[in-house]
Amino acid sequence: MIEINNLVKHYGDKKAVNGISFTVEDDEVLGFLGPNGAGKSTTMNIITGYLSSTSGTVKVNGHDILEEPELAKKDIGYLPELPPLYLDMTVLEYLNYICDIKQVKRSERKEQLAKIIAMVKITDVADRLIGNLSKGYKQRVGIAQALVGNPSILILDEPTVGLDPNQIIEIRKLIRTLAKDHSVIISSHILSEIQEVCDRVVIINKGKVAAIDTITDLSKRLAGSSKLLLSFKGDAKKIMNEIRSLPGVSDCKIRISDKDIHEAEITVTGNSASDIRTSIFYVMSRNSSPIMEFRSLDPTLEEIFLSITAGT
Amino acid sequence: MSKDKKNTKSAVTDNRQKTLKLYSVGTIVILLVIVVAANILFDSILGKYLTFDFSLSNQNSISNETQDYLDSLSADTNIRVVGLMDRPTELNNTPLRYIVPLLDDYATKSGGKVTVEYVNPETYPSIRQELDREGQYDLTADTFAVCYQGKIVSISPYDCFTYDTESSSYGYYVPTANAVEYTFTNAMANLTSGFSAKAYFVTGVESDSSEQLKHILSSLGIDSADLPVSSSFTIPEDCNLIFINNPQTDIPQNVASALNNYISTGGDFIVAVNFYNNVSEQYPNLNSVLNEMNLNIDTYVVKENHPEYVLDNIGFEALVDIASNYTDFSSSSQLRSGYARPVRKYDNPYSYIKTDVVLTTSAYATAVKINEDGGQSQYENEDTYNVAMYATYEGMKDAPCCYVFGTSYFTSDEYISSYGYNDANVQFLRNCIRDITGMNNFNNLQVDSKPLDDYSFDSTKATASNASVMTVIFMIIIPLALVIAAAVVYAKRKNL
Amino acid sequence: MIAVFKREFLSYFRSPVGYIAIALFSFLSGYIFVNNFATGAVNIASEVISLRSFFVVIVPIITMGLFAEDKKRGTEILYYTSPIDLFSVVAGKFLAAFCLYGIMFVNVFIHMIVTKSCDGIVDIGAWGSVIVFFFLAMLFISIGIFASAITDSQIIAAIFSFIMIMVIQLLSTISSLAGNAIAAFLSMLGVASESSNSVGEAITNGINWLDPFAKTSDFRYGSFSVAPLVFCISFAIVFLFLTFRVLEKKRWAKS
Ligand SMILES: Nc1ncnc2c1ncn2[C@@H]1O[C@H](COP(=O)(O)OP(=O)(O)O)[C@@H](O)[C@H]1O
Ligand SMILES: [Mg+2]
Repeated sequence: MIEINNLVKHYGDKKAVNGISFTVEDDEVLGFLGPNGAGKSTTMNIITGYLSSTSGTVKVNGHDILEEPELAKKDIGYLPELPPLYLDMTVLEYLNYICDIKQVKRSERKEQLAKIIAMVKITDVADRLIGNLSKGYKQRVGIAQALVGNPSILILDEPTVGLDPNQIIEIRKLIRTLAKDHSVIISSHILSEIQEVCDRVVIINKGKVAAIDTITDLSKRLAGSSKLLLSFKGDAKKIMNEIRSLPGVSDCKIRISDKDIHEAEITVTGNSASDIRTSIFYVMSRNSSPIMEFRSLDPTLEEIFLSITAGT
Repeated sequence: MSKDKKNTKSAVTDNRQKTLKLYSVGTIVILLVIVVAANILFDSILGKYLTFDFSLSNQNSISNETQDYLDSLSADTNIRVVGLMDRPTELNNTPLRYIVPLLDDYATKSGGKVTVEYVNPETYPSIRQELDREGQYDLTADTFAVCYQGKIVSISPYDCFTYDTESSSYGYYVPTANAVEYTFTNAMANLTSGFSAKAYFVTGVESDSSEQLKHILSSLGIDSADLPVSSSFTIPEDCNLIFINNPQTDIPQNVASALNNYISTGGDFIVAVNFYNNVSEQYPNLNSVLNEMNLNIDTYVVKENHPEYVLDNIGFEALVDIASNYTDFSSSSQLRSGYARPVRKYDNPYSYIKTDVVLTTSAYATAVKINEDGGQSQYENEDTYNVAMYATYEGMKDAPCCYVFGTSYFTSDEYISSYGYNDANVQFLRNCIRDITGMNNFNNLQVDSKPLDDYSFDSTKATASNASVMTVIFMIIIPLALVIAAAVVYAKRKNL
Repeated sequence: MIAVFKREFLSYFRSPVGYIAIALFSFLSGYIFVNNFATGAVNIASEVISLRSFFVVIVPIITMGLFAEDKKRGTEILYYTSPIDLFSVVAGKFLAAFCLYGIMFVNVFIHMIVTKSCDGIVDIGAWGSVIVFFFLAMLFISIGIFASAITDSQIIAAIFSFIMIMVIQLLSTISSLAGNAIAAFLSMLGVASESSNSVGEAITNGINWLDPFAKTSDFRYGSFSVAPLVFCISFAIVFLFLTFRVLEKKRWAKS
């Protein structure tokens, strides 16, 4: 369990973190969501004992990071934004070194490393130089590093940033496996990523907590302002009016294009997001307008903040 | 209410960080205080007790030779050593630190034959009168006077060391050898043996200074003075030995005839020349003197070709063998020589002149002529050349004798100051002087300076060929192997 | 500590740095030795003393990366986030650099063996200067490590330690210059020449007190004393402790 209380961090005049408080329960996967520069990395660095806070406290399983740093750090595995890799070492040399500095017992080392290497799937690069690995593999080695010493808490700072889509899927899979027996904090600036693996989300912006919620509650709240994108052929004006008149639709903007494929951005209120698609389909069908594309639009973080602040 | 709570909380954390900062700065300050205190403690209080003399020839105790000499003196001998200063208390970083403790050792180990006292002539001006009734010795403050039966040898602390000429550029004088015991014991031995002699150096023929040589003479109890060449050149009555030490130009005619007179009255002399800056000098006048002794020096340079003798790459610096009659002059069987002129027997017909070979090259040396244009031309075939010779008149009482060195590697300041008083060449020279002055009749003691820093190799191993092997190993093979290792490791790991 | 030592020490040999540093030292010491050898007399003490002048080059090379590189690559985070004592990190890195020096010094031991086998002398003075060499190495390496910890640029670290070591090597010159300059300045201000001279002398002596070279100059004659060694080792500890504090500052500093 991690208790974070009123964390403040100043860089000179700039307040990177400004009074953040939240707790992470045992075996929970917590998403830490915020745009770039929100203070996610700073908060994580403070939790793991890398940076000091200007004020505020962090307790890891009851140990204050400032007062009992050794005990607190034993329970944490950390993958920073920039993975702390020695490019001049091979993966095995590096992991053995991590075992050394994390004081893993010699007798357990071999078994533990074998388990970790199998889990993060780096068996075939174990003897290669870290500097020669691809970004995805480097990230895995970084995660392997965090797993050494069997910490009960994993803190991963934007683990998928800079990876290609295949690698992202692989890393997410890995995180879901890890989530089974660890408490995990994952930071990200992409909502969908958090939604996929997390139980709860802490959303921060400009150094302050904007919302703390379970994924389900958050979905509900966000549902209040979901959006749909519809591309179609046909009489744009007429269709727009018909859609606007549907119950639950609060707005419909249409971009009319020359190539007679038009795009409508439909804002939906209420809990009827699933129903409204049926109604829209019938509208189009009535007008004999072919649907070229029909999907829900992911809200941008800005919109989430807007809707959250509007809701409270 | 909740606001208050927040404030106190942040105040608490602030204090905690202040405490950590104070702790951090505080520990640094405490450590600094401890370190400075410990250093002062070790430096000025414990320092004296925690200094150990591990030197082989314990710098602060007299050697067996000195002990034997002291034991050989009769029990009622009284040698007074007077330091013309207050007894020094602060010895660090002064030459006195090697002198004061050693003199104390003389006093304790001589059983009363040597007494040591310190009298400052500024507070007790009468001390000069007391020691030196006739005022014939120059007793300056801060020197030591060794007194025996009214005779005095004055020793300055700075004369008790040889200095590293190179490190004077660092701003301080680094003694390369501690000759304190050498100086004092020799002074005592000379006083008690009653031996005295006077040597004159012929100067004004572009010869180098002979300060080191004069030191050696004075430790042998021989006073020295300069004798400049001039139109009224005469050799003083009290002269026992003439030195012509590395003249770059020939001696004038009148000096040559004065020397011829000197020889005919049984005078002794030592000549050293070399072939370095004076390649075309033929020394006709000097040779005319040497011819009287049936010797001659040639205008060639000796070039050694035997690889085990060569010291430089060319063969101009090389080892020379000591002729069998002179092997007991040195503990080493070979000596160094460089830029030597060959010394040879002349064709003087008088059979009472007896010459003797002293130092020779290997059988593979050549004599080389340096042409006007600086090029070399070979003069004679491979042969053994003499680098030093001795000559005397047989069957004559008080016969003249001389040593002639073709090289400056025995007598020059440059050589002696770079190799020290214990060098084999210097030892050899000292024995030549003992021999020529007949000192051995007075004082048979070989009281040399303590063998402190003789770093010479066995000369058979320090050859040019060995040196090049070393060059290859240490400057090429080892560094290159490491660079190759670096490249291999780099290439191997790069592609892992 | 052993973990960090092992990594840093081996990393000298994973990259060319270690080999090149040793090659450089081998070449320089070989040069001095061979030159002495050619004259037929080898004084190991002089060789070791000459080698001390290369501290100013070799120490920055082997210490500049120790912390600066970690900071640049982001690997220093490992020291803060693992349950390892920061002082043991400092000590481990110090030991690694010191052992590299030890390996370089094998050259001199080889020279000693050659000297012995040529019937030369390896006397107590030679061993004295070896002892001094290692104590000075401790002092200078700790300075180099400190330089590396206060910046994340290897170049700046190297320049800083270069200057520090240079100044220490020139202390005897600096002290007399400073003493004379101050004496001259005081007498210019109208202070009686006697007292201004004594002030100048006091300053010269004060600065000289800090000179580890002057303090240890007697070792080469076989006269060993503990005080200069205490001086070197205690100031080495001071610099290592300062390094530790600089690193630890991140744990509590407010900004
Ligand atoms: N070392 C630093 N010095 C000054 N400002 C910093 C430093 N590190 C981060 N910041 C600032 O603090 C804010 C928060 O940064 P960070 O925690 O890295 O954001 P995030 O990880 O959420 O993208 C940013 O505005 C950033 O510019
Ligand atoms: Mg970040």
